[in-house]
Amino acid sequence: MTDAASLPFARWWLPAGAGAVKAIPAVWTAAAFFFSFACLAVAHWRATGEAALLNFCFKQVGGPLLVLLALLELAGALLVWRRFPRGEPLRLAWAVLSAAALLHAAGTAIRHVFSQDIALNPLGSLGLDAAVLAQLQEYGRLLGGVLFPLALAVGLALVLRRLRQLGLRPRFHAADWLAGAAVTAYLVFQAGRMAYWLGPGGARVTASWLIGWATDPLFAGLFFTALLLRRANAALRGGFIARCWSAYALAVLLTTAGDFGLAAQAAGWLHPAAVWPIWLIWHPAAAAFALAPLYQLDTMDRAAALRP
Amino acid sequence: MLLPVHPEDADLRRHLLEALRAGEARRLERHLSACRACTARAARLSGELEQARIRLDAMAGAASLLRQDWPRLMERARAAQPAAAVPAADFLGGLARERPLQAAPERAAELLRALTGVSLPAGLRPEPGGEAGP
Repeated sequence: MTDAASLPFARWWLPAGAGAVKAIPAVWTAAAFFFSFACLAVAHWRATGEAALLNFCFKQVGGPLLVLLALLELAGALLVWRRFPRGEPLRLAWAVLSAAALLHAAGTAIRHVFSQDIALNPLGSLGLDAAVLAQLQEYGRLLGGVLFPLALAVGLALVLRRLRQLGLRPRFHAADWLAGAAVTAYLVFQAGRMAYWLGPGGARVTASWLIGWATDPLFAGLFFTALLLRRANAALRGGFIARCWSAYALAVLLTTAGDFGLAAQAAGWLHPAAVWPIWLIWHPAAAAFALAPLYQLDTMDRAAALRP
Repeated sequence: MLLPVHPEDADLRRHLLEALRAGEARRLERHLSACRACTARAARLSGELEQARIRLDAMAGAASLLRQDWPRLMERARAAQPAAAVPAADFLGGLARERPLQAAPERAAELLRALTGVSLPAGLRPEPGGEAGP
């Protein structure tokens, strides 16, 4: 993996040789372990009402794990980008996906480590006050909730365009149309709510307020992109190449489901006691985001091995 | 006569010789042509099969003659088609088994280059995957 030589960060995360091959089972194992732990913690909380284990699981362990997975996603995406020859259309797509991974990692680190009162927070010793931590949270939300889905949607749209050029056109099924119609109806409803707050509701429009409203349309766009990607990728199913795009599509669909779940909770459609399934979504989604470029690296390694 | 799945060259050679002895070269050739897993290998060996068939028609002792000529024939066949086959189905999944790609196997290499960035040298032919044997 000679390209890694010029990317010390990526080389550290994915050492030369069979880095991707070793990282793939590690991601699966970590995700499975955490998911089991989280299910146990949620079950314990629901049975006893005691939240200490739940907080330890999601804040002390889950937060840093999300950052770890996002860094792996970034390292993998950078290596894939560097390995695509100049002039290949997917090189540009992977450059944008690398930028998306960087925003994802930065947003996740700020939201789940740097602005949290946890043992692994390197800023913990500075004793930052609550207002600063809240401000950090806002920055994290901007990076992870707005800029990340935007960059990811652009990157995946470039991939879709390339797949289309190669004759891999998505064909929507009835379930896709139904899901698309539901998301569109939700967006129309949100637009109505926003219009209310801008008019008779008398909301004070701030950057943070606008950012909050931008998240849903962005994730909706990402959702449609993931549906198209899933269908375009269907022809390749069963092959090494399909794994990367399936992982991206799954990650986006899970993230979108989580985002819409949070929005439903904020709108009062979801009872607070029924919110816990959303908590279990983020780590499988982060694992799928990390696995996507790792699968692509693995596929590239296998293809390179065919050279005589 | 049915070949085992994905026969190695040594096994293929043994089967070929047995088929020649039994006067079944045409049947073996038909199998190789129809068997998707063996298509690439059949393409490489078709020259040898043809030569073997001519020899069988021409003389009674074809099998022993072929046995003597085998290394030279293999060498010549390899020189004509130097590279190994690309297992297209491993990378392209179901697409490799679809008719358009089967009809234009060079497109598999093109897709592989576009989607993985790995260029394979000219002359490589994709080997359609799938179950072996008709």
